[in-house]
This record gives sequence, C-alpha cells and structure tokens, in this order.
Amino acid sequence: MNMIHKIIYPCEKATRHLIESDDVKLTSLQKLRIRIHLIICKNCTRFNIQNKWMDKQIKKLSFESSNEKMEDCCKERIANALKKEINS
Amino acid sequence: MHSLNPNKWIDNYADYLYNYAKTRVSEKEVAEDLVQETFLSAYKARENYQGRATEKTWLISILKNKVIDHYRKTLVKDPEISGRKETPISFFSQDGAWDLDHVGTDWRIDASSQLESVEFKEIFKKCVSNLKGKSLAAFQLKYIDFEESEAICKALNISPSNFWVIIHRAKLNLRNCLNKNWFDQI
Repeated sequence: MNMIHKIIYPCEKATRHLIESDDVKLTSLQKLRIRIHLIICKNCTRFNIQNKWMDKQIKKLSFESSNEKMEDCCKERIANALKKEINS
Repeated sequence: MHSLNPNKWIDNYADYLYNYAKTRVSEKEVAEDLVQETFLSAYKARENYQGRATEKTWLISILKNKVIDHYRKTLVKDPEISGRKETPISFFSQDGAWDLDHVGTDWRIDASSQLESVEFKEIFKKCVSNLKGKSLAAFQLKYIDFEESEAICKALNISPSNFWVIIHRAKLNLRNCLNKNWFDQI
C-alpha cells in the first residue's frame, strides 16, 4: 500500500464506499477520507456524478412498464395447465 | 376484502406477470415458465389467500419469489454463470488507482432530450442485461425490486461485503458499457 493510501482511500475503495453510502452508514472518518479523496481525484468525482445519474436512470426505467405481450400459444399452454390443475 | 378468480387469471394477469418476469430474467422462455409456475403455485396455495391484498399483488409476490428461486438455482447449477469463470475487466491497477483505459470521459448528461430517446433506453437496458450471474441477480434485486441489501444477501447466499463488491463491479461494468455504446458515440 502506498503511503498516501494510509491517509486517503485508493480510488477502488473510494468508489466502492461512494456506492455503499446510499445504504450503509459510513463512519465520520470514512466520510472525511472520501471527501478528501474527491477533492484531489477528478476521476472519482466524475464517477460519483455518473453513478448518481445512473441511479436516477435505473429508477426511472424500473417504473416504466414495457408493453410486451405474451404470445397467444403460450397463454393457451398455461391456460391448459391451469385448467388441468383446477379439474384435478 | 378481495377474492380469487382463477378462471380469469390468464386474461387479466398473464401479460402483466410476463412483463415483470421478462424485465428480470431476460430470456423469453424462462419468463414464460415462471409465469406458468406462478399460476399453478397460486392455485395450489389458494387456501392461504386471505383477501387483504388484491389478486394482482398476491400473484406478483408469488412470482417475485419464483424469480429469486430462479436466480438461486441458476447460480448453483452453473459455475460459469455464478461468475467464477468470468474474466473480469480490470478497472483498477494493483494499488487501487484507476486503470487509465477505464477512467472514463465526462458525460453530456445535460443533453436530456437524447437521453430520453428510445434508443438510449434500449442501450441502457441492454447494458443492464449484459451483467452476468450474481451481478445481474444482485443488481436487479437492489435497483429494480428495491429489496433490502440484507434480504438480497440471504436470497443469494452471499456476505454483505461480497454483496458490495458485486454491486461495485456491476456499476463499473454498467458505466463502461454506457461509455462504449452511447457516450463515446455521441
């Protein structure tokens, strides 16, 4: 481990904590180390912005229902299986 | 109180359940089988229906469990799918700094009209479905179904720290895919 990484997180760890921070309560020290990392690392700052943006897009897409219909032959197959179960 | 009407299930809910399953498992045939299993299981368990939730909600909760079972079975059956044989992209060097090929570029995310396009949404969905095995399962459960991390770990039999490693990789892969297929092209 580099000397510098004893003080600030390496990018791999910083980005992981950025993702975790949505769900996991980070300690004050962890938050501070991330903040310092983001001040000096433009790549992780970019990742942070893009990660938050991806989260928003995922949320949007997950609420958008697709209108794909099940094929009629498949519905018929399932209907027959269900009918068999009902009549047994 | 609500009641069940199994004779109308196919007409009323087959398409809805199919869409739900298809979003989560990608393969058409698997989605169809899961819907069939859902109807059959629901019919067998009709005595347990207490009428508090609507028929639709009740059927979805059964399908949701079927999807989780499917993830679990697939991961156990096929070690390749579980991620053990994947050759992962190295996003970081050994000391944990970004690999220069994967630092990414700035995204023009203010160009909202393009990002609302059907084409972009298709690419986004494709990038999500490109995730494999546990990555896909964990990602879907967390971001599409909004399941608690603890429940996902239990369902997929993974530790919390492993879960975050998986989600971290999934996000990096998703970003990489969007970079290659959209943002580097516009």
